Amino acid sequence: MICPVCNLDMIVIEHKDIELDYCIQCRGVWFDANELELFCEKSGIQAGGNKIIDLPLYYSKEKKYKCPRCREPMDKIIVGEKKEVVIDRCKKGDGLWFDKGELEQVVEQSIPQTDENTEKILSFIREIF
Amino acid sequence: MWEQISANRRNSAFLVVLMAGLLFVIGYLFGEVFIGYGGGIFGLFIAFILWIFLILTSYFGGDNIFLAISGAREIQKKDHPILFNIVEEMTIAAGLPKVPRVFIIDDDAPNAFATGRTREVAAVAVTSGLLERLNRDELQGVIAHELAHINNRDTLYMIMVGVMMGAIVLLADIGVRSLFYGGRRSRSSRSGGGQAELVIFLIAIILMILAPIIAQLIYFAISRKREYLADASAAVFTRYPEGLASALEKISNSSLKLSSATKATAPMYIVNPLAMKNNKISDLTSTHPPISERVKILRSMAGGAGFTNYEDAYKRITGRPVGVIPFSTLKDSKDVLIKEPSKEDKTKKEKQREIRDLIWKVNDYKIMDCECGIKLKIPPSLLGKKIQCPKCLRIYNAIE
Repeated sequence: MICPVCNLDMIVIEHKDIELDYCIQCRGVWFDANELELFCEKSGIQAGGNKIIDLPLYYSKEKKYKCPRCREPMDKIIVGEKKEVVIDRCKKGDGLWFDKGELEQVVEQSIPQTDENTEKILSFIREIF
Repeated sequence: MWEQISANRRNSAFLVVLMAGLLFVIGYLFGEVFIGYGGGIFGLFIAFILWIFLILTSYFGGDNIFLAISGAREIQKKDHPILFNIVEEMTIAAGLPKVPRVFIIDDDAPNAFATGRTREVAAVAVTSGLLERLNRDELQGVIAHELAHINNRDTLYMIMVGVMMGAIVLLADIGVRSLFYGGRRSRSSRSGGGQAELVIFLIAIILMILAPIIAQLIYFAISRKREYLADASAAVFTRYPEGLASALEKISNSSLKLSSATKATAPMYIVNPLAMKNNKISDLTSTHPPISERVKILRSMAGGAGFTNYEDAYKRITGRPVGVIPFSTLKDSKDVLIKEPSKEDKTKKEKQREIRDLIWKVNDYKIMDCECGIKLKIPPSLLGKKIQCPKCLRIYNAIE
């Protein structure tokens, strides 16, 4: 898998049987749909359709990145209720992308969520980084 | 099986001749138009060389071309012992002289195909999604079905048709392009351009009409009969029709689409990867009989797993008076007892992780265990660089 930001091969990190793609240059993380599916199965999350995080689009001025799988520009979505973090989501549901900055925000503070599934996904990421 | 095998040989030879005829006509016309009066002979000569080249490539390299198109990577016994074990067992059951090469396609959509010009030079390819989803008995059913195709020489015919199809599509493309670009030039510089334009236009049109007909030929190539025959052989080889039946069900129920499948390669697969689910019209024209019917036949094989049992089940389910198994095969058919199902000892998750690790390995990733409990998998392009574990921040030199 190629990093959507720097176009370099990403390394794969495996934690609790879940694999994430991680770019050693820009420190962004790709959470692939297959792994999300596996993660949901393990933690008992009922996935709604092909979008694990089913949140409305956010129109941001941030640069659009291409999905590393289907190479289509990804959508921006916001997670968190009071504190907002913008992350990228593939239009076709191939996975989620967390920039370095987004990742730091996710890791450094717990972001209050209305949605339990999103909370579980973010806390899993927090475990690793 | 001899009827089927000789029919396949005859069809392959017919295709070679057809291809020659087509290329010679096109070559002659191209020569006449572009070089002028008498140039047709030269065109014919070029066409002859092209024909020889095509035949040699399809015969000696066709299998590798298909494997390359589908993104298949060869694996060794140590990479996936269970899969190899099954292939070896089925090689013996099918009576093939040599164990085929085994390939893996990194794709979550479950599917499989076989290719090869002879029973000695053959290969079988399965997707990682197939290995993740199927248990041992089901996998055995699929492999047996594929080896039956090799044994019946279906694969040689498939290669010939596929390469021919590719060549015709390419020529039609060249025709259309030269029409497009050549058309502009001739209007300004040459006065005789109009005629040349017309001829190329005609050829392009003919080729464009021919291409789908050739595609239809592929559809006949792996015709429904061949699929039924391979299913019947799989039941005999495995002595367990339920294995293939439930494998077919699992493959057709998956909503994932095989990303590397093209129109030319689709008929090779055990279940047509391009067929849409719940599409009634596709059933009429499809290369493969409806999956539900294949499953029903396999499931209603009563009393044994032999060819006679399959023939009876086929007649009962489809209601057709004429069966699919060649007469000589039925005559020599022996009673085959259905065996007990094998026990499964691995969970789905274990299997899934095992397959993923295999995919990393065939793609030359280096797998390292960090002391903090995290596994790092490094792509070949990053070997030799310093890599920091994101969790515990230890720094590694990934050397290979």
